[in-house]
Amino acid sequence: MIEIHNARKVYRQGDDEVVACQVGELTIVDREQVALIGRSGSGKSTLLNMIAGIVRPSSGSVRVAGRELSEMSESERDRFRGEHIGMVFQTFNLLQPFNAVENVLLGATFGRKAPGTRERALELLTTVGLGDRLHHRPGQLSVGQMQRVAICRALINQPALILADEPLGNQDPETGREVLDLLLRLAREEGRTVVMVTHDPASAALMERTVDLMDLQSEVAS
Amino acid sequence: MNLFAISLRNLRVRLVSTALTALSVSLGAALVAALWSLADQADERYARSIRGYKAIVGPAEGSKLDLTLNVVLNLGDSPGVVPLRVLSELERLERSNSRFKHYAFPQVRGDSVQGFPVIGTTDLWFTKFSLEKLDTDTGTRPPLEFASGGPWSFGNDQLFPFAESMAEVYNHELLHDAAGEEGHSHNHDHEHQSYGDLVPIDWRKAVLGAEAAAVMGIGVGESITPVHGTEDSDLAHEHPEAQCEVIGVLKKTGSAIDRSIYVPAPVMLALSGHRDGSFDQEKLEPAAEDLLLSAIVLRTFDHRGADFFQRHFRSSKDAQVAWPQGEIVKLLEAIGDAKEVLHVIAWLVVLVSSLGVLVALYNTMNERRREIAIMRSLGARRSQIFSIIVVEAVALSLVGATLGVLLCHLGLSVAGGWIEDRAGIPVDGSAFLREELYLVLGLGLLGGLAGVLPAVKASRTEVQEHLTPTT
Repeated sequence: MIEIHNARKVYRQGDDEVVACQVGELTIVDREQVALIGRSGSGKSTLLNMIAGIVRPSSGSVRVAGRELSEMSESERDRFRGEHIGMVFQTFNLLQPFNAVENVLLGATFGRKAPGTRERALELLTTVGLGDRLHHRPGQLSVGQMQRVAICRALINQPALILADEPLGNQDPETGREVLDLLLRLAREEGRTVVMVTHDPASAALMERTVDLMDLQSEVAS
Repeated sequence: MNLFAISLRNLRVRLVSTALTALSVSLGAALVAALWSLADQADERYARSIRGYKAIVGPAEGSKLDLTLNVVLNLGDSPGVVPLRVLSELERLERSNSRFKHYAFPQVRGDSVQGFPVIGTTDLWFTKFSLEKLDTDTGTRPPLEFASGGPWSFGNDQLFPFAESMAEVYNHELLHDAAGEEGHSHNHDHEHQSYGDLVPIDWRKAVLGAEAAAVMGIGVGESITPVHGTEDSDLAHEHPEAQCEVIGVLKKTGSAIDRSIYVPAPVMLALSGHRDGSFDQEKLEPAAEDLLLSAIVLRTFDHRGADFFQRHFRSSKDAQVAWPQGEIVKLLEAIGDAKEVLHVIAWLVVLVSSLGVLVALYNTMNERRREIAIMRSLGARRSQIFSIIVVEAVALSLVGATLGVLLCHLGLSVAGGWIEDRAGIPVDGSAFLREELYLVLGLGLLGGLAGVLPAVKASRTEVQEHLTPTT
C-alpha cells in the first residue's frame, strides 16, 4: 500500500523556492493499477521518484509497504527500491554494454538476492516473446523489444510495486498498447501494484483508476 | 551478474581506452620488473662469481678493489705483480699449521684473444677451484665442468722448477747483454736458450670459457694466439710463439670464467720480449722466487683462514691480501646511489601510469553519468557504484601490471643475448622473482587508490538529474 500525506518537493533556485510537486492525500492499495495524469510540469515524475525513494520529500509523508521513506537514509531507500520496487522508463534505460538477459539480471544485482534468478530472467524474456533475442544488445533490439526487456527487468525481483514513467512515450500507438497490455497482464498475474505516469488518456483508461495530480495539489494542507 | 562482472564489462566496452591505459601501466611495470630482474641477476652473477674466491693475494701496493675486479670479474688491468716467493710462503704457512689449509691458484695476466683475457695458471684450477656451494652430503665443492675436451696438465709443483729455468735464462741474457755493452766479445758457439725454448709443446694448450669459445667460434682442436694488451691499443702485438691448441671448453658458469682463456702459466711467463717484466728488476741476479705473478687466488676452508692470511701479509713488502666479498660490497655501495636513482625513476613511471588510470577513468565519468543513474534507479547504493569504479581501476592496473611483467620477461628473453654482450650479465628471461608478484599486487592497490577520485565522482551522481538521456 502507498500512502502519501501532504508531500511536497521544493527546490531552491537562488532565493526562490520552486515547488516541483505537492500532493495532499493519496492512497493506493495493493494490486491496484493507477494512472497518474496531469499537465506537463505538474510534478508527475517527481511524485513517482518520491514513491521510488529516489527523491526525498521536502515535507510531508510518503509511506510504501508500511515504510516511511522520508525517514529512511539514502542507502536504506536504495536498498528498499532494489528489493520492493520495479521501474519502467519512457526511454527504457537499458545499459548498452549488456545484452537482454544481462540487463534483466541487473535488476536483481542490486535488489533481492534469490536463487533461480537467471532461470526467472529467461522465463520472463520468453514470456514477453524475446526468447530468440536473449543475447541481443539494446542497439540490436526494436523500440518495443527494448521496452519489453525493461518490463522484465522491473519484474525480475518480484517487486510489490511497479512504477512506470510514460512507458509508451517512444513507441508507436500499436506497439505501445501491446507493451502496456503485457505489463498490466504480468503485473495482474503476479499480483503487483502498478503506478503509471502518462499523458495519454487512452493508456490511462486501461488502468483501474486515474488520479489527476492537479486534484491532489488542491488538497495540500496549508 | 555481480559487481565484478559489471566492472569487467564496463572495461570491455571501452576496449581501446582500456587497452591504452593498461598498456601505460604495463610499460611502468615492465620497467620496474626489468630493473629488478637485471639487478637480481647481476647480484646473483656477482655473488656466484665471488663464491670461489675466498681471498686474493696481490701486489703490496695498489687498490684491493682493482685487484678484485681484475681477478674476479676480468675488469681493468692487473694492478701489479707478486713474486713467486709469496706462493712458497703460503705453502710454508700451511705446512706449519694445518688450520690454514688452502689451495693457491697462481695467475699470470696481461694478454688477451679477441678481448677475452688469457690467464696463465696451473691445472689445480680445474680440479680444486669451485664456484659452487659446499655439498653438505659429500663435504666437497664440485670443480669446474667441461663442455668438451678436458684440462691441460701443469701443476703447482712444476712452477718452481720452471721458474728456476727462467731465472737461469734471464741471468744468462743479462750477462750477455752486459758483455755486449762493454764491447767484450763472447764467442758463443751455440745459441743460448730463449724463454720460448722453456715451454714444451705439451704445455702450449688452452682451455676456453664457454662464452669465449662461443663468441670466437673456436672449439677443441683449433688454436688461439694471445695478443699482448688489448687488441684495440696501439701497443698491442701478437705472440705467435705462444700459440696454443684448444683442448677443452668449460661449461657455462654464469661468471667471468666464461669469458676467460686458461693456459699453463709458463706460456704467459715465457712470452718473448717480456723479459723485463718477468723478474723483480731491483734484484741484481734474480732467483726463481723472484719470478713475478699477477695474483694468487686462495681458496681457504673458512673465513678464519682468509683472515689469517690477511693479517699475515698486512706488513709484507711483497703482497697484500684482498677479501673479494668485502671489496665487491664496497663497490656495490659506491654504485648503490645510481641504482637507487634508477629505481626512483622507475617508480615515478609507475606512479605516472597509475595517474593515467585515474585520468582515464575520471574522463569517462561524465559520459557514464546516465549509466550510473540507471543502476542507482535499480537500487544500486552509492557504495556499490564506488566499488564498481574502484574494481575497474584495480582490474585495469592488475591486467596492465601482469602484462608488464610478462612483457619484461619476453623482452629479457629476446634481448638477453644483447644485454649479456653489452653488460656482461647473463640474463634468464624465464626467471621470475617473488617481488614481481608484489609489484603486480602493489600496482593493483595503487590502481585502486587511483580509482578513488573517479569513484567518488561516480557515486555522487544524482539519479533524477541524469536518468533522462541528454541530446
